[in-house]
Amino acid sequence: MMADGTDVRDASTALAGTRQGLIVAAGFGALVFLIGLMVAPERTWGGYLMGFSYFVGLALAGLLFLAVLYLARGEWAFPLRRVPEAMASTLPVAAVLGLVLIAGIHSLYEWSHSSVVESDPLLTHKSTWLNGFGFSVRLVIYFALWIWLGRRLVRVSRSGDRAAEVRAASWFLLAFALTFSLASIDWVQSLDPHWFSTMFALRMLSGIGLAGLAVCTIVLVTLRRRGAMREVVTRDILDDLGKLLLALSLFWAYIWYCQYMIIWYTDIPEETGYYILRHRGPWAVLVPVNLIVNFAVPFLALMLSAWRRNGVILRRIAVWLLVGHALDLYVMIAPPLATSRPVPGLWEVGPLAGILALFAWSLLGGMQPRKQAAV
Amino acid sequence: MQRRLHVGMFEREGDLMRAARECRERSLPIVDAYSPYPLHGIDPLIGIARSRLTLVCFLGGLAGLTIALFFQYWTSALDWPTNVGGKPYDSLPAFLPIAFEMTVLLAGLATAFALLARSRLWPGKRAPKELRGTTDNRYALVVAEESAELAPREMHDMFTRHGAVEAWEELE
Repeated sequence: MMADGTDVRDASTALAGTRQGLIVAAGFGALVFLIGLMVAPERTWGGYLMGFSYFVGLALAGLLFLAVLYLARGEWAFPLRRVPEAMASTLPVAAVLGLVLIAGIHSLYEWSHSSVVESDPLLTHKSTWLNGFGFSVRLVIYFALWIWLGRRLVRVSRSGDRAAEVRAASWFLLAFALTFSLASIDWVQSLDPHWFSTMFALRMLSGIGLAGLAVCTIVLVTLRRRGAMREVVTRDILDDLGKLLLALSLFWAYIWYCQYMIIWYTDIPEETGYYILRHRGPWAVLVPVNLIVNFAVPFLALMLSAWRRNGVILRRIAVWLLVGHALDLYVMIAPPLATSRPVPGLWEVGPLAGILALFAWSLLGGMQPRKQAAV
Repeated sequence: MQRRLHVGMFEREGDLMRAARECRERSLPIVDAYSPYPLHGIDPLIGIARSRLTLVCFLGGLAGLTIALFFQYWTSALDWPTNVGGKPYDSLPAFLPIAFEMTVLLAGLATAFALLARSRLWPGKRAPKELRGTTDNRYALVVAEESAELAPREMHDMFTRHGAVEAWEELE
């Protein structure tokens, strides 16, 4: 355990300068966001929601990775777990972003306008769940549960008590499965409030799993290249990370197709609206692009073991996957907000990039031993 | 040509791995390692080159994918166009489940048969060398004697030093 701590300390001194640049970038993002709120509130909030979903997903993916590791006794990755722990330590920052999101309910969600709801029987029926007050209360409950159970999970990893690890991981996963499903519905699926998919939480889960592991991979390769954790992050570990990325990319494609195929085959109006908006007209170009970026390219690239074992190439693939995740979120979030055509401009990219810089900033902060001890 | 073989029988996986590592460091010719299950990381120790089975697997999968897509397209759009639920004849989404299954099936079968062929294994084949216990709870390491320098006593000592429960020599 001590050895891991010193490794992370070496690494964080090497990465310390980057943090300043990141917080400046996050500041610029905040500025664009504030201007955007006046110029184009819907698009700006859309970009904010993308960034927020991205950030929360990565923080949760860290905890998810830890919990699965403990339950499956994946000892190959135990020396690496400080990286997902650092990802999880960003969760309080995500919670603050969540509180800000409450201010954007009216710009984002059709169900938040009482005049629309009253004239629409289906939305009236759904208003028991989809209302501003419930949305806010649930958001607080989700974050409270995640932070509480997540801290327990990180704390037991320092105790070395295996039974406690399994207990903490089980409780977290149980709570996560329920709350994450509901949160996906609240935050993203309810952008199309008439539509529903029982696969939607899994759809989100496959995305955050892939992006979360990509972040782990980028951090580990960077640490390795700067000389830290060289004994721990061997070429075999890189190979394993690459295989896991390949598996998660397959899982993403599988879930994407599962949701699409059932709706395409059944072809009933209450379900097809979601895809008509995205697969017809100007948005349709993004559909094959999304599949190629998140599935076809990583699937073929990660098949070569020589590429998986090469840190530089593996990191490039991981960065590619992070761009892919942004695209994936864009296709899910943007169409109902700006139906005309896909124009990712400053108002979408600014808040998203700012929030991602904030994530990287808090991730690097979480890797400093002093901060980590507080978790 | 007759060879003299030294056999070390171990009760723990780690003991065999350590003995194999020492043989590797002293460049003693390891003939084979016997174990009830695949040992992680044994391949480089006993000098087995990287397997090319993955390529066979990939080609098998590719063949499965191509055959399944082409066959479904041919049956449902070319040879006997069938209207299913008003969908277009050449509906790719409908072809994917079968394409996926065929990819997995042919990749799996190709890999399994290539493995059997390459290792010259077939049902009912007699084991070329039987070491009692290695299909049960024991691990054996077999080292060949190629030069007179390798004293039998020394091999015996090395095996026992790594925790061998039995060590003997035999002629092949």
